[in-house]
Amino acid sequence: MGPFYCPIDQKVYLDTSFFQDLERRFRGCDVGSKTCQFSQAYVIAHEIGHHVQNQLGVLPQVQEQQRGMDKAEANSLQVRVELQADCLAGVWANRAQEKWQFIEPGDVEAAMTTASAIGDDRLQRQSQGYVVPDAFTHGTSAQRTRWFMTGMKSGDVESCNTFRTQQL
Amino acid sequence: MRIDELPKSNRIEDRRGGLSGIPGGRGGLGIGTIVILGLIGWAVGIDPRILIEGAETISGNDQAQQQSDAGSTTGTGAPSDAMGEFVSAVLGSTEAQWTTVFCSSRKAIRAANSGNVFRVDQVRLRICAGRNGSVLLPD
Repeated sequence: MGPFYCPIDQKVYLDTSFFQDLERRFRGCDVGSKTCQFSQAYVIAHEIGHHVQNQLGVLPQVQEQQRGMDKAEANSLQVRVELQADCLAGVWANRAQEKWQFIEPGDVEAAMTTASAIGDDRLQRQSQGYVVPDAFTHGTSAQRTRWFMTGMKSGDVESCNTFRTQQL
Repeated sequence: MRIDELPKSNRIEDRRGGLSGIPGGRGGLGIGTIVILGLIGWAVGIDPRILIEGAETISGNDQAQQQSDAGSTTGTGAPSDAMGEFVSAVLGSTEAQWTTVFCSSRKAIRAANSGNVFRVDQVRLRICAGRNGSVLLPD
């Protein structure tokens, strides 16, 4: 099971076997390499990003809007939620690096590879052989990579408004 | 990635090796699950232990039953193995970083906290974004 954030109890649930999947099944980073740790950290920071969204009122507002939408529209809005969490994970990486200098060569590239590996288009193509954009909930590989890097480069939450951009 | 310098978080429930439960009841995330408590305290300026205890009260009965049934133990606090230390460090760094984003305004949040939730959210957002309070929200 993949990691997830539960807004009701405000906890992040991590099945650590997902980290193995990240390496072996999704090929999100080189098996056993140290850079895989940063990829895993990106995944955790993404889930924490959902908690930030919850605290900021983003999740309740989105859920309210989704109630009046059909499935495709609701999915489209959900993609913006998930990409914002990617961006917030990037903001964390930027600010944590500024404070603790913890990132090593190859780490950012590994996180980008991971973001790409868990894009909806990639996952759908792997699992069913074709892509259904209306069923996307997390964004494409390119979008996930781009929004993580947007937050990573800027270190600024203001750069993470995925709801007011034409270019996801 | 180096985790040595990163602050560690204790807000972790380690349920690896047992029948974990999604609070509320269906359970069965399976072996290998770590549960991390949410980061509530830094956003509202209160002691997170109070919130954690509250969350336990809400969800505790089902979990306790499931854990009892499974005969497993749930550790609370930072696990000492490599994976546990890693998760603790990542969580700790996110707590510290997002606290920095939010904490400068605790006073304002407390003041607004007497009003409705929407106002509080707006205040948090304004602090977070540093300006008009709507930069992260959908229209």
